[in-house]
Amino acid sequence: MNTTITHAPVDIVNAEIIKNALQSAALEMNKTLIRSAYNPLIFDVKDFGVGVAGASGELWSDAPGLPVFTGVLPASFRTGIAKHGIEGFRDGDVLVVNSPFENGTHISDTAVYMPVFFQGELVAFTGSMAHWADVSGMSPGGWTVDSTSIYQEGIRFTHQRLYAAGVPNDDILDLIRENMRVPEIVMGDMYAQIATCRTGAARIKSLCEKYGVDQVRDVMTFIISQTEKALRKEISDLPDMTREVEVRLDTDGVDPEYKPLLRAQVKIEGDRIGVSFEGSSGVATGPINAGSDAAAAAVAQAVKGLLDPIGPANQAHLDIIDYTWPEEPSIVSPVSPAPCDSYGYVLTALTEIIQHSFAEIAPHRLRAGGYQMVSTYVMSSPKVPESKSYVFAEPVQGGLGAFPGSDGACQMFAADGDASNTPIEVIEMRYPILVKQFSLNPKSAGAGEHRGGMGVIRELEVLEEDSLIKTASENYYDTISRGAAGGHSGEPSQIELFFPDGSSEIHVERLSDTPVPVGTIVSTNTGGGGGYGHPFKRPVERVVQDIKDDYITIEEARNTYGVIVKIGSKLDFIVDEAGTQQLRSTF
Amino acid sequence: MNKVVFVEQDSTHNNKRLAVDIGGTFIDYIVLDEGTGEIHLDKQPASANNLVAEFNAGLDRLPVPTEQIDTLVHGTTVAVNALVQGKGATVGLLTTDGFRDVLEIQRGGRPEVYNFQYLPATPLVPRYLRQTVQERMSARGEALTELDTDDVISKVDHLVEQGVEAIAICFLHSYANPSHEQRAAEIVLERHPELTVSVSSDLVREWREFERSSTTVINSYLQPNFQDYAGNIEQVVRDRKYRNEIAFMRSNGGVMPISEASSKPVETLGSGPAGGVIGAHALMEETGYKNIVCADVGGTTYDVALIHDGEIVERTDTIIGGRPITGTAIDIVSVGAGGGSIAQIDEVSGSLRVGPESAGAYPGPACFGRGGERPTVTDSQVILGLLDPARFLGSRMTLDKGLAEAAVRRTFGENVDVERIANGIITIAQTNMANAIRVITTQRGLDPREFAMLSFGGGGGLFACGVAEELGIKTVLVPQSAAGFSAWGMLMADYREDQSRTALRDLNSESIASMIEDFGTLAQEATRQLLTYGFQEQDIQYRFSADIRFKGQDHTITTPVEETALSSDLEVLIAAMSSEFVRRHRQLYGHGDEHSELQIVTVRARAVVPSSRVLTKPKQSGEALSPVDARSISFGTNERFDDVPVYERHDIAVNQLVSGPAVVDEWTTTVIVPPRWAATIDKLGNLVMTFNEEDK
Repeated sequence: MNTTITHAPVDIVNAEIIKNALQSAALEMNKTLIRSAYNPLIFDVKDFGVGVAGASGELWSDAPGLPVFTGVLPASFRTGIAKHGIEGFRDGDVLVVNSPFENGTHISDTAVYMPVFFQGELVAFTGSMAHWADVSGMSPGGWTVDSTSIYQEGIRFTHQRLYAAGVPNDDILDLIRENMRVPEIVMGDMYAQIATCRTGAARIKSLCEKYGVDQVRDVMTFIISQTEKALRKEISDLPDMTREVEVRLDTDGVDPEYKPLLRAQVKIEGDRIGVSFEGSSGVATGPINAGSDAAAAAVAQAVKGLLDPIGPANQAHLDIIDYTWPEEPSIVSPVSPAPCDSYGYVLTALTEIIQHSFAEIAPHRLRAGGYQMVSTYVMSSPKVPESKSYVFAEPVQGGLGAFPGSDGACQMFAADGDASNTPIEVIEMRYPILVKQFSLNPKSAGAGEHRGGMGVIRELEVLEEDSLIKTASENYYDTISRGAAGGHSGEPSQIELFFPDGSSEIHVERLSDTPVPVGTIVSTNTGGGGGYGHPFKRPVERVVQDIKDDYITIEEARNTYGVIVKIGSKLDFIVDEAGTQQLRSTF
Repeated sequence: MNKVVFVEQDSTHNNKRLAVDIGGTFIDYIVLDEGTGEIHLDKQPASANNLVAEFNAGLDRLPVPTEQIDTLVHGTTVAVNALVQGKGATVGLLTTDGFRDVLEIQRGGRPEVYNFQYLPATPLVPRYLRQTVQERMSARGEALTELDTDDVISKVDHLVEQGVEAIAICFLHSYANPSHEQRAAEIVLERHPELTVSVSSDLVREWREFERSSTTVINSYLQPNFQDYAGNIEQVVRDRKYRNEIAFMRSNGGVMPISEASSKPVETLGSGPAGGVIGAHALMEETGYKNIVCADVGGTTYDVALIHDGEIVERTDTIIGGRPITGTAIDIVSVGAGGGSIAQIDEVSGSLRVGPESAGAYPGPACFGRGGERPTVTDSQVILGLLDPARFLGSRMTLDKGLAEAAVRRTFGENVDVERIANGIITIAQTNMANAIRVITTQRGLDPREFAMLSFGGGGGLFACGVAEELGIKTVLVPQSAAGFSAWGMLMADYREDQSRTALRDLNSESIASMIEDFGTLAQEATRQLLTYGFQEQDIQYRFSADIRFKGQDHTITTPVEETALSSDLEVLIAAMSSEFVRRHRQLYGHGDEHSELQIVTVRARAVVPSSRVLTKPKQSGEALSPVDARSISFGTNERFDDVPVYERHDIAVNQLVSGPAVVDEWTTTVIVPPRWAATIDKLGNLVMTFNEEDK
């Protein structure tokens, strides 16, 4: 330990206390939102992010949720400041913004935030971004697969006041209530978000009371600059490199022939890290565009994982990257009225391919590629009366990449942070759905010295008439589950439909609001993660255990892993040592 | 099932209770004389591989022979250590066809959202030992596919060939209908009576299949070794002519006979820290405090729990080592803060961080002189004079202040103001502790200023007032023999059985009758269990509660239902449950609409046989109070006091006032009375400290 405190401009004891207090304020906001929301996308899937920020919108702290949402909160505050001016806020204001051109995500991801005043002075902002159950627009549930303009996607908020100086803005609230398909849920969630803002604000006020506004501000400025220094040092310790990465998307959702390209040049030079998006496709006709703030936040998630994976984020983690954007509007920097509702694929792809580009220079922090996001919806068709209708929507977990020391995990895709699956017993009690199978799919995993994480097979049987399904998937043809250091890539996701008449279909593209008969089984087979290291380097005893565990077959052991195994007289597995050695020596 | 035998009160001696609390490094023994209320504390060093012999050795030293003990209560970290260290049995798991991997897939969340190498806990049962069986229940408990008994036979035979020592069974929706699980368990035991079998519906009657599987597998994983341990302990006391059945602490704060504990070790995982909270509850009944923050201060962790409105705050899920356990447990929040916590500069924030890294018992703090080079909280206390280097652990150990100072300089620079840094370290350690208390108070809408604090454990007296001041708590109690308070608390534990059942229904007049019916069934089941222990039905008391939520929401709030309300008019009962739920919701989240529809998710019943309370009495010499020593102590930057008086705790008479700054010493515990605080002894022998704001 050779760090010494020399000339810290703030009291390092109070700095620790104030930092911890702001982190626990964010955690408390997180809990408030989870526990008071009405929409399973928030309380089960945790499709939200919270943050506290300084008076210029600089992020002070976040809490586990969607990293991208935290990443775009500063943009939400700053575009609000730009619109209203610092003088335009009053104590007790609560504002709402969801425009992709203000803060990057899609319209459903709605930020609700408030300025925090102490003794008449604006000292901070608190806010949350959460996926609303509906935002009006052409498709229920706040997710359009094939829109061609932002106007189809729903109602756009651009820093309107839900509360003005503590007084409810009834006209706006009324407008929201009148325009949503499920007003009770949307309003319930919105009030939960307001309670979340107020929870954070109360904590900041009491901190200012105890330590003084100036000290709180000075400490956070010091901590952010200190974080930047620590991150710059981490970058300096990495070898300089330039790498071109690209991934081609399957479709923009409208034109099946059009396959947009995401392209990034990542560069480490001294203590700088740069990402240029030059060469990425222009604005797509379909809704697969991602606002630049969201694209930047997806990159920042990968870079935080590279430089400082544990603990909350602050503004330094967002500002550490030098971005270069294409000169013309593009798929990662669209302008109004570009459709953006399916932006999530771009984010997941960016996070995965950028972290993957560093995986071999930072094998202690990063991993091989992980699977692209997958979600499945089962719901009533619009002709079912509202009182009897249901919507079951869930992201489905899959395989993440392997890394030295471990096989990959089977968890939610990178962009979805701390999201959880829905228990089978909960699904079956709540929805007219019978779950036939929920198991690992070993074939999906990328082989390797360390095997990629496995995808899952999740089979839902539809039990009610007039049901529709909708699916979300991408990157079937150009996978983002890329192997590293000689490991194989994981298999992509696909949806299989088994109809009651015995026929079946495999879909590798997204399905939009598709009616299915009772008895149809929707099997979501999620992709596996990439392997790390050549499969021939996997220890022989691990390969034998894999056979024993039904993760691989004897043929795969031989063909992929170079291990020759025979079944003995007691049905045990006997390794042909000499044959294995010879086979593996061909590598 | 063995019966609990109640020995007639013997007129030749007062009844004696003994608690034995096995922790990580020590076994604590507390003997309570029911007649006089006097307590005797002893400690025996403990090592993981020789616990039974050490348990026995400690009994030898007690002033009362084991055969004169009437009640022996036992709590131990044996089960939790086995789980954390991965020293359990080879378990085979039988699950419903199609769901072999539920235990491995888990829930998919990644709380460390930026950590690309985050891994969930490794499943305790590898895939080749997880076998599926043809059977299926619906959410309503109807058999969609009957249990294929031949399939059970072939799968369990296969697992036995693979060398499993224990079988866990968890089928879908068994909380709604356990018949398939129970039949499968019978088949397993008929064919392989040597195996231990854990059945999910015997342990948890609540939904969420992964959490229920995890609970069942953990039980199975612990059961073979735990059974051996319990058998050995029982043999030790039988050989010493102890006549009753050992009462075993469980996570829910009650006790069960050791024979029952042997089949439900998963319910003992939280038994160690539970004792202190039970003790706090028992003291509360006497001191009149209805709201208490319980703080157990050890060397590496700080465990906090809450008594609110006279009730211990509980939870229904616990996570240990990333693995969930469903079941009622005292809600104890643990943070890495204690004497061993290491201080350093956090590279990413540039601020002074204390813990969660700990110097542990070895090398320990720098001042221990065992080679520790990094400064800890204990080192800071020595530097500031809060700890007397010559009187540590009852003078069993001498600390080296020079090494403590050298460690501070090594980490923070040669020219730093060592005392200023030491004060900073203590302040941060105390705010970390205060933040743990905020998690269980302010984060639930409770104001810590409305609570008293009860601080115990070896470090209970050192931090108590500092943490209390940070939170605005004005009354702090440090009980007698604070280092052994958890063991004392065990002596106050009741026999209790909890039963629960998940059955989703709306809270309205149509469904309320079936809820009352369920309460009756659950109470009967809990009663049946207590009767097998040898209790009489008239001694049993009941408590009921329901997990309620707003329809459409996920999170429930456990809401008590008064027993008397169950026999009142249904509309009155519904109104009472609704308003109590809404009141609790508003307290937790600040809002709650009393007109929204409500749903009951899980109903709960608890049957309790209260133990008789025995009051402690102060020990006192009756001499006039005079300090035994004086030393210089720093209570904060620019707050150094010379000649702070040091008192022996048993010299202080009831209601005699000691003004801070002062130190009150007791074997194994030092209590700091800072400036602006005053201390006295109450009629139960607690040291009661109060903050006097006017002095500020």
